Parts: sequence; structure tokens; C-alpha cells
Amino acid sequence: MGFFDGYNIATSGMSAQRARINVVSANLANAQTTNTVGGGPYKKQNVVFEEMLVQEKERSNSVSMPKGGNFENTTLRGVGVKTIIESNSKPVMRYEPSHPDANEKGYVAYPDINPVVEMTDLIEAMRTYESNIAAFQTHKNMDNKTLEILKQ
Amino acid sequence: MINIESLSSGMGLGSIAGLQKQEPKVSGATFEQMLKSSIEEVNNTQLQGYEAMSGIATGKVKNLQEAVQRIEEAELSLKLALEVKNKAISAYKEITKMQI
Repeated sequence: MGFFDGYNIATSGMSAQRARINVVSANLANAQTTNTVGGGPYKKQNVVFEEMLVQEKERSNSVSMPKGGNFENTTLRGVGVKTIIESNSKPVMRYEPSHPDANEKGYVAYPDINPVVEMTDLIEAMRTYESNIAAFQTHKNMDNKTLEILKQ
Repeated sequence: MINIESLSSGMGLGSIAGLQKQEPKVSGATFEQMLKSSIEEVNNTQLQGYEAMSGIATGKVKNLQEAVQRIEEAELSLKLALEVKNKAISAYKEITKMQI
């Protein structure tokens, strides 16, 4: 375990949640989009997370662990964005004959996005981001307090 | 980080206690080398921190949280280096004050 591993993990969590907030923002912005490059209405996107090993090069200044224990092989894992998937839920059909994207029967395919669900997702992502910040600050305060020992 | 055993042997503290000359460990790095490498490491962290700061100022940074992390790492490692320096200097002063 390195000196800065805690910071790396907290930052990886912040990056992952930021990606999630970006995707949720795109979903909210495109809640009424009926026309996309690929054709058809916008499809709701979801972020898939995966665990990520803390990079070896950033662990150069590793703290020595008690001998005999199996801590040397303990690897801390941050989080990363694995992929962004598109939901395949059916579009919502609304009768709007004057709409340019209406089909021959006069129905327009709208994306199946519930703004309320997206908002709760947004709030959850924001709170998780904040808890990662709290972890970062805890590490920082701990290190500052430890350095204060040297001052005495 | 710095191994305390090699630090004390580099400063010759081991020979004071036994009042007999001990061969310095050849395998370990000398105190000077250790000091130099750790100062270089702190300097590199500082440079990364400055890079991150200028990245924020010029809008090049895409990842704010990682830039903040670099700056915090730079600050903490500099603080650690400063405290180690203060300790070394105060130890030196204590020795110069010693009555012979």
C-alpha cells in the first residue's frame, strides 16, 4: 500500500461519478429527442462500473508493511467506467400527426426516459461524489496531523 | 520511503553507541544519495502540481479532480520534506550546542 493510494482511489471514485453525472445529464437533455444520427429516438444510456487496480507506477513510494503478513500482495482497487450501455426499452409512442418525425399512422417515437428517475440518479451520483471527496479529505487531514508530530 | 536503518548507518549513529568503528554498509545507498533522490522526488511532485495548476488556469485540464489530487500530493510531500529538513537542522544545532 502506497502513501498516495488512498488519494488515487478517492479520485478514481470521483472520476467515475463524474462520468455518471455526464451520462445522466445527456439522458435528461435528450428526454424529448426523437431524431438521432443512428435513426429513431434517443436511447437511454447507463454507465457500467468495474474495479480498477491502482496503477503500479504511482505506487513507487510504498509504505513498508509488517513482515510476515500477506499485505505485500494486497492490491487496492479503485473504480473505473467499464462501458456505457444503451437501454433497449421500447420508445413511447405519442399521436402527433404534424410532427416531422411522425410515422405513417401519425405516431411519434419518444425515448422512454422518466425525468424523475434521472433526477434521483443525478442526486445519488452527486452524493457518491461527495462521499469520495470526504474520503479524500480524511486522508489529507490524517496526513497533516501525522506531519504535525514532527513539529513538536 | 526512506529506511530508518540505512539512515542511521549513513549518519554514523551506529558507531557512536558501541564506541568502535563499524564498517558502513556497502549495499545500501549513502545518506547523500538518499537525500538527493528524495529531494528529486519532491521536486518532480512539485512540477506535476504546477503543471496541474497551469492546466486549470488555461482550461486545458479535462479532469479537475485529478489535477486537485496532484496539487494536494505536491503540497503534502513538500510539507514532509520541510519537516524532515527542520528535524535535521535542529539535530545539527543540538550537536553544535554540545559542551566539550
